[in-house]
Amino acid sequence: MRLVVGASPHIHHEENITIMMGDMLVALIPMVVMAGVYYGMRALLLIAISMVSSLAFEYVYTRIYGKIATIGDLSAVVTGVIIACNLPATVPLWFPVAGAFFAIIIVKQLFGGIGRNVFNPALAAIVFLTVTWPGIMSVFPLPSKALSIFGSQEGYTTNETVLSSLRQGLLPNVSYGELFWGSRAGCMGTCAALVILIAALYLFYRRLINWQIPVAFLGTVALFACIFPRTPASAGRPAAVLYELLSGSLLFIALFMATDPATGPISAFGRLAYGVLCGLLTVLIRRLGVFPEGAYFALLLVNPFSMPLDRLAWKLKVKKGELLDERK
Amino acid sequence: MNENSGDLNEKAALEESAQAEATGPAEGAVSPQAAGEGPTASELLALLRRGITARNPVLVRALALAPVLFVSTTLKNGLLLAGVTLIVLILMSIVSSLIYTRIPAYLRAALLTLIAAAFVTPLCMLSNTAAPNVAASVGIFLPLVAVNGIFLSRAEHFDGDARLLPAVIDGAANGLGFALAIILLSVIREVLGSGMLYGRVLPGMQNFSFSFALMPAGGLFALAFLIAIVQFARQNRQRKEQKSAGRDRD
Amino acid sequence: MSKRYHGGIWLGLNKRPAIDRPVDELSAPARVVIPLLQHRGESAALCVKKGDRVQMGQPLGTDVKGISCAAHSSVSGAVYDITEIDHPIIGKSVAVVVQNDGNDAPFGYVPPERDAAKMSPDEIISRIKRVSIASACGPDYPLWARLRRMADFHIRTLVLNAVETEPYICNAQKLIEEDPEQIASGFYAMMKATGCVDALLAVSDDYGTETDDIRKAASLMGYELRLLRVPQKYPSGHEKFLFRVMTGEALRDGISPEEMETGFVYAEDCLGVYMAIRNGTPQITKVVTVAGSAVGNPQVFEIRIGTSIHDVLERCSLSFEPERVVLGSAMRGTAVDDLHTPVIKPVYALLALKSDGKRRQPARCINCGKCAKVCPQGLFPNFIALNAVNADFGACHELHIENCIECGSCSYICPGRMPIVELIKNMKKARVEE
Repeated sequence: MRLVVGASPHIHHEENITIMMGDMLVALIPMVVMAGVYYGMRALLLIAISMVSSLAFEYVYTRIYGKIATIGDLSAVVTGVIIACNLPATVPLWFPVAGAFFAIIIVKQLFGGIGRNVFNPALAAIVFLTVTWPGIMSVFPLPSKALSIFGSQEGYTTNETVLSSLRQGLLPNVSYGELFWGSRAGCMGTCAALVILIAALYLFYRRLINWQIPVAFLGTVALFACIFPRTPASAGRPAAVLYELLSGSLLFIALFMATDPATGPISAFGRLAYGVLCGLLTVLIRRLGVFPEGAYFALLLVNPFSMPLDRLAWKLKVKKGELLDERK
Repeated sequence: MNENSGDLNEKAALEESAQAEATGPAEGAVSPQAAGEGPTASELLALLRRGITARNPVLVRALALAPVLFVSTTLKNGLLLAGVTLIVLILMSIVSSLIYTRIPAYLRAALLTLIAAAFVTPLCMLSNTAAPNVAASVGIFLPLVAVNGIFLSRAEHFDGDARLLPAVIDGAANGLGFALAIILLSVIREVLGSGMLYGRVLPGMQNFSFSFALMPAGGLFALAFLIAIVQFARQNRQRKEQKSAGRDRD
Repeated sequence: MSKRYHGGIWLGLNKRPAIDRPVDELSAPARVVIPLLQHRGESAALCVKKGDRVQMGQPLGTDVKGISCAAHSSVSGAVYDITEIDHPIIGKSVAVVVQNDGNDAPFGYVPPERDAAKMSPDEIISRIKRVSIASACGPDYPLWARLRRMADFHIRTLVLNAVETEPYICNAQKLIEEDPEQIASGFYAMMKATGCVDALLAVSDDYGTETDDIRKAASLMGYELRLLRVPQKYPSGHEKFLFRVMTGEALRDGISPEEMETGFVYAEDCLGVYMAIRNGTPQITKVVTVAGSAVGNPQVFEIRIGTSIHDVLERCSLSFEPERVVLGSAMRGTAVDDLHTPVIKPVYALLALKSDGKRRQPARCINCGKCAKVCPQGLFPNFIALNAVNADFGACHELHIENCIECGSCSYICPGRMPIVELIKNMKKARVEE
């Protein structure tokens, strides 16, 4: 018999990267479904294009560089779906391809492949698309199935979104029901707050995301919304907080993108600090910056801080003496 | 000495004009010196080549990235900055090789910057009258040549027993390296970013514009790719040299 | 500090059906290979030569100055050969190969003691030394040396560590179930030898009523054996963490339990001490759990020391082709490929594991942080592993790589299949060799 002389441990937990990514995809399916419900076939087509192009880019890159093909671990698919979810439904069909190229080739693979990338690939792709084609990315149609599947979307203009209303200090013209169910003008997959929360709970149950980052992130934003509300005073504090938290793609970013394992810290203290930083910057950029959805830029800016925050957490741990170490 | 010519072929054409005034005095003025003193023409040429390729101040040593990044949005801007930098570098290297060791250490940086400013100011005025639009879009980076780190970091390599000629050649080499980098980057960014080159729309690219390339972020990406290509070429060359060295030993 | 420690993993224990079967004696093989070094410390000195006739229990190597004990033959017969082996657990050692003549003629090395109560602590310890009880749970110092150290430190509590949180292994549970009086008696002798007053039986949560018998036997002997049930989180069986669960205090790295007035012994030690005192038998058999996903009928066996793995596996049926044969536990044991490797004292389990059928994946760290969550020492294994890959010992030192107890929790849980423990072991070895 052929025996393997491997190192201990000789048993292993059955979970691997593919299973983790598969769970992520399962959690993203409700978002895709809602995108289809609100925006029809075009949304589904865009999501499909994004997935396929991400896979293709990853496959081509790994083949050219002779690395073992890693498309089996489904992380490219997850990136593709996340990119598509953050796009408005009126983007041209080549748009997700450009985003996927930037995300997979430049941000993920050129920085070292899975796990070694500093920036969240989907996040960086969205920022890249927003900055390069601001016109296309700021058209948010109201949910309607009348979007033509293949045709151009010239007829749509920028609508009043929750964020733009908040910016002007007005009460958004969206009811709470519409907010929770997502039938408002916004990105394809990030509007259905209730669905996102349930999916996040599922991921939390499967131990794929941590609670510290979203709680710190959303908590900070909520705190600032409570203390400095952007809605008129007549609406009351809870309304301000609710509108702030459920506007734009904040929930999706805080729950799905900020908790990305590769780009976030691993220590509890690091995660809390990371979430607070993200929240702070989101508030700043939303109020004082150019782009209405500041959370993308905030998260991108805070991404590189995950390693230093972990180092800080380690130093604090050592100093606190939690490590039961004899040496001084 | 032919090892460096590989990746320079396509850039040689651009350098011709700039190179002529720099290498002219060098090649002709190999004055008969005592044995053991002073470099030979081939050494000077190697120095020149090195400054452009192996020790390129922007693409290899990552100096002066800010002006390169912000100015290289159009070819015209790039050419202007490259020209001014080249002239100032050559003049500065002449001056610094003459007086560097004679100034006390604590005064060197300040004095050299002052002298550089003295050279830069008339050049700025000249640019403002000769090409006012280009000079305006280059903006503050034109006077900033005065504090450009390149010549400060070269000055200390040529202190004491350095001759005038190697210092000048080195300054010229750095200037040409800088020019190479900024011209390359400008071409890439202008073509990709606005579909034009030298202010003229390229055929077939009327509506093409990839505004990301004109932004600083895009500029950094383009610069990163350039540097990566250069590093790749250098590593390839080193590997080939090691292989041939190994074969020679057999 | 709480009695619960952070980290550790909950493993599926898979102790059935081995736990439902009695402890069987494995018949002695045709040939045994007995190394002279089967514990930490000094090797025994060879005292036989090729061709000598030996009896069962006869010393093949005598104990030397320092921490050592004799090596006894587990069969009677003739010395076939004297070789040098490189055992995966203990390392290089001189070994005596004895050809079994099947008679099992006993050697009266140590006379049985009529009244154990009349023995003084020193007599007990010297008897334990003569019978060479050692390495009940992995390579360790001989029992006599450990007891003497405990006596020197005047320990207060002696703990019978029967916590088994690793899959398949149920040695202690079976021994306590089948021989409670013997174990209680041996434990009492060790209490006397160390001069301690407090007795504690630590078991993992999955034990049933086995503990009642042994506690009753203990009270009949005149001492109270307290019971502590420990949640079966790995690595609760490790002394450091068992101490924490016991007392709520931390056992700092570099401090041994004896310095904190506690001594740990194992069930097989107690049984061996009882046999040594009552019958005078030296340690010539070893209680081994033979189990694993590739083994058809897993069971706990009493195996003659020096039996080769091949002979053991022949006796138990292998229902699948094993991918790994592991000496020791699944989390910390050593995989072997030479089936002629003998079973020696530090081997308390023999596992044959079949492959999980998945293709070998490349090892990638995705920075998920699961390893940091399960590390019982509170380290960041992902950063240590990355620095180990870059051979950066300075950074590993900053991350306290020396505090790693190599429990394997991080490698177990890593979804990217990073061989963290292997990297850490190699790093430490490279540092030592520097």
